[in-house]
Amino acid sequence: MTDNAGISRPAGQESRQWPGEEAPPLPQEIRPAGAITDFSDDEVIIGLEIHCQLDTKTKLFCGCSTDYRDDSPNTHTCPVCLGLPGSLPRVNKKAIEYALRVGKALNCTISGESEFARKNYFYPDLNKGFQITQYDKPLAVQGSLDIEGEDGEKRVRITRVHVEEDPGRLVHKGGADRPKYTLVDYNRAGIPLIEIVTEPDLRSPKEARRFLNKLRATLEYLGVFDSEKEGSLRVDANISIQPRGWFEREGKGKADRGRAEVKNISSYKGVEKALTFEVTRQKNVLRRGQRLGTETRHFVETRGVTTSSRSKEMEQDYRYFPEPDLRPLRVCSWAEEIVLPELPDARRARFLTQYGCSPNHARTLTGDLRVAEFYEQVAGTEPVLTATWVADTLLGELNYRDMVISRVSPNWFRELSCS
Amino acid sequence: MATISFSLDDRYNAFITTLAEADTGPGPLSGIPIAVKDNISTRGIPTTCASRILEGYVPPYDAHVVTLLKNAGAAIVGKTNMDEFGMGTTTENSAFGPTKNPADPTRVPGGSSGGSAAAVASGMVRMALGTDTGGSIRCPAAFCGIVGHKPTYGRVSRYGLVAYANSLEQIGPMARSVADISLLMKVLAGHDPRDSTSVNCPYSHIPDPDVSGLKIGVPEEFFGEGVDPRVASVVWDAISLLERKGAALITCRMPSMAYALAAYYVTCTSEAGSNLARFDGVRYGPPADTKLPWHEAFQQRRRDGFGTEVKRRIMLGTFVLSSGYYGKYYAKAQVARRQVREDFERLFSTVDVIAGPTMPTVAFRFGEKTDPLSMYLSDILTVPANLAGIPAISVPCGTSEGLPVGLQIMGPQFADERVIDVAAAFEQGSGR
Repeated sequence: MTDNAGISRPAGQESRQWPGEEAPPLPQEIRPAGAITDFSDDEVIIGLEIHCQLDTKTKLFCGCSTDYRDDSPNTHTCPVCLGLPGSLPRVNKKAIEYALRVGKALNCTISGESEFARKNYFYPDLNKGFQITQYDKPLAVQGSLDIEGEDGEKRVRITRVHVEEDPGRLVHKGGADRPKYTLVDYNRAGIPLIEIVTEPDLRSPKEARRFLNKLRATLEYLGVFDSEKEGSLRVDANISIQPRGWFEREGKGKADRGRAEVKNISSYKGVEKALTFEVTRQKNVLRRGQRLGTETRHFVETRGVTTSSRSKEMEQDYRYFPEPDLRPLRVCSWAEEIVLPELPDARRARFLTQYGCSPNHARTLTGDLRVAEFYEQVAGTEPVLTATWVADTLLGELNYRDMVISRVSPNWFRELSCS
Repeated sequence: MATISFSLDDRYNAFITTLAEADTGPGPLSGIPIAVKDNISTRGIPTTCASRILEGYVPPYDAHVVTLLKNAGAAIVGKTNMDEFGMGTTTENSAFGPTKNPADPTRVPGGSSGGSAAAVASGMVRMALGTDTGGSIRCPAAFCGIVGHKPTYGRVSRYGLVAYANSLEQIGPMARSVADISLLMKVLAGHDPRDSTSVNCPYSHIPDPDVSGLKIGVPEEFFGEGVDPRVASVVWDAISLLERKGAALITCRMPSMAYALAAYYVTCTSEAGSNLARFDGVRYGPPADTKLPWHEAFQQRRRDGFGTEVKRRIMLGTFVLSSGYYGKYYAKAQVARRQVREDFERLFSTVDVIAGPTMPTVAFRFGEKTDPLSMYLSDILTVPANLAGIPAISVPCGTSEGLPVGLQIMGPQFADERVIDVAAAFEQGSGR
C-alpha cells in the first residue's frame, strides 16, 4: 500500500489469533456491563479507499516504461523515478487524461485548479523520502457510482479522485518469517495510481465487493485499467458497526464504538473476506463490552484474517505541502472535451433492448468488459439462448477452473453453440 | 573535441574536486575553463553538495546547464566548495573545510557559492556556476569582489541541481566582468521540458551601458537597521555615479521587508526538510547498518552524515510543516511571500530597477558569526529577490575597510537584460 509508513512485522510472527483476538466470546453469565448482545438494530458501515494503477505506457513523472512485470528489478528506471538528487518530475499528460476519464465516469466535479503535494514519510521503498500525491486540492470531487446493493439499486457517493505515484517494492530474502535482508526494486516506483475514496455508504462486505466489481468494470470500459495485472489494485477499508441510522445522525468521524482501517487488501475476493472477518471480530469485541477504539489492521491474505499493526502509525504526521517542482493543474476545459465510451450501465440497457437479455444476464454479461465483448461477438441469431450459455454455463466453468475469458476463442464457442 | 590540462594551486580551498584534464569543443565558450558548484550534477564526476552524506555518489547524468556548457565548448575543470547543500552564508558549513576569501584570506568568501566566487576572484577560472536560493550567488560575489547574477526564476533550468529549496533557487553565472556574465547567460537561459517551472525565455543580449532616463528605485529599508553605514556610503556613491550618467533616483518604501526574512526561512526549511529526506543510507553514502531496525539505521546515518546547520534546518522545516503548525508558519509565510511580490510589482510600476547594497556588511572573519540568527539576518537584502522570483545582480562597487562591497540591482521578472545593462553601466563608469 502507498500508506505503509509504519513497519509491519514479517508475516508469520503474529501470535495465533481468533476473530476478536484474545478469546472466544464469553458465556452469558459472566458478560461484563456495557456488552452488546443483540446486533439486530445495528448496521455495518464501510468506506473504501481504492488505489488503481493507471494503464499508461509510461510512468507518471518520467518516460520509463510501465511494462515491468516480467523484467529484472531496477531495469525500468531513470534519474527521475529513482529520485536521484537533482532530478525533477514532469507530469505525464496521458495519466491526467485517464484520471479525468475516471472522474467524469464517476460523475465527479473536476476541480478548477488541482495541485500535487508531497506526503513526507520515511520507508525503505520510498526513493525520495516523500510521495508525490494530491492532498487538499484533488483532481476530482463529489461523484457517485450506482451499484446493486443489498436492497436494490444504490448510489454510493465518491468523495474524491486523485492522482499519485506508486512507491518502489521491497523484496525480502531468506525466508518469509525472518528475512535475512531486503532488496528494493524501483521498477514500480512512479507508476501512476489513482486513489478513489468513497463516503461510508456501503452497508455490508458483499456491497463492498459489488462496488469494487462495478468500479473495476467501469475503469476497464474506460480503457484506463487492466485488472489482470498483478498488484494493479489495492484497497484500504474503513469498517465499523454502529446503531442503525447512527451514521446519518452523528456524521462521519465521530465513531462512538470505534472503527478499524484494514490496509493492504490486494484482491477483489480479499476485500469481502477481510471485511467479513472484521464484522465477526468487532461483534465479538463489542459482545465482551470492550471498546474498539480506532485501529489500523492488516489483512493477511493467506490466512484470511486481519491483524493489528502495533506501530506508531497512528501518530504519523505526513507534513503535506504543495509540490514546488510542479505547476498547479487547470484542466476543466480539457475535461469537457473528453468523450467517454459506453459504460457498463448503458451497455446493460442496450443488451436488454438489442438482444432481449434478461436483466440478470445483462448485468452479468456487462459486468466485465471482456465478457461483454465476447458475448457481442458470439450473440448470433439466438442472443437470448447464447446469453444463458455465456452467463451461466461458460462463466461458471471458467470460474470453477479459475480461468479468464480471454482463454476462450469466440470462434470455437460460436461453432459449439451453432451446431 | 580537444582537452585542456588544468593544474592549479588551490590555496583558498575553492574546489572539492578538480580535473587535471577537461574536454573542450567549439562554441561560444570554447577553451574557457569553468568551475561548477558541487550541487550541480555532473555525469561521472562526484557531486557532494559538500556533505558527507553523499560520499561516493557519482551522478549518472548531467544537469541541463552542464549539457549546455559542454555544448558551448566550455571546459569543466572542477567542482567548487560550498556550504553543505547550500545552507549558509560563509562556506564554513562544508564537510571539506571552509574556503578562504582571496581578497583577505582571514575572512570568509561568503556563501553558499563561496568556492565558485573564490575560484573566479583568484583567477583560477574565468567563470563559474553558482546557485542562489537566498543570496548564495550575490553574497559571495559581493564579498569576493566579482559579479554574480541570480536569473529570474524559471529562466535557467534547475534539472540536475540538487534541490535545497526548489521554489526559491536558480542557477546563475559568476565572473569578473559583466560581459562574461552576459556571455554565460546566453548559454544558460532557455526552456527545458524536464523542468516544469522552466520558462521559454532565451537570452540573446549585448549589454548596453546607457542608463540615461532610467528610473532607479532606492528603498529606504535597504539602508536601514543592521546595514553598516560605511557599506551604505560606498553603495550610495555607486548609485550617485549612475545618477551622474543620466539615471533618475527615486527613494521608495518596501514595507514587506519586515516579513521577508521570516517568510524565506520558513519556506526554505520546509522544502529542505522534504528534499533531504531521501538521504537515508539506502542509496547514497556509507550504507546504513543493516543489523539495526530500518528506522534506527536511518536515524544513525542522518545523525552522522549531515552537518549541524543542515540538521538545524531540517528540524525547523519539519516543525513548521507539522500538523497544527502549518497554518501558523508555512501558510503565513506564503502570504508574506505574496506581499513581497506585490511590493515589487508596485515599485516596478514606477521604477525600472531597484538598487541597494548586496550585503549589509563586508566579509566576516572566520568564526565571527557563531549565532545562527545573526547569520540569518545577514541575508535580509538578498532574500526578497528569491521570494519574488525576480532577477538580481551584484556588481563590485568599491571597498570598505579595504574589503569589497557589492551593489545589488534588481529588476522585474524576465528583465535580466535590464539589470545586466545597469551593472554594465556601473562597471564602465567606475572605470574597472
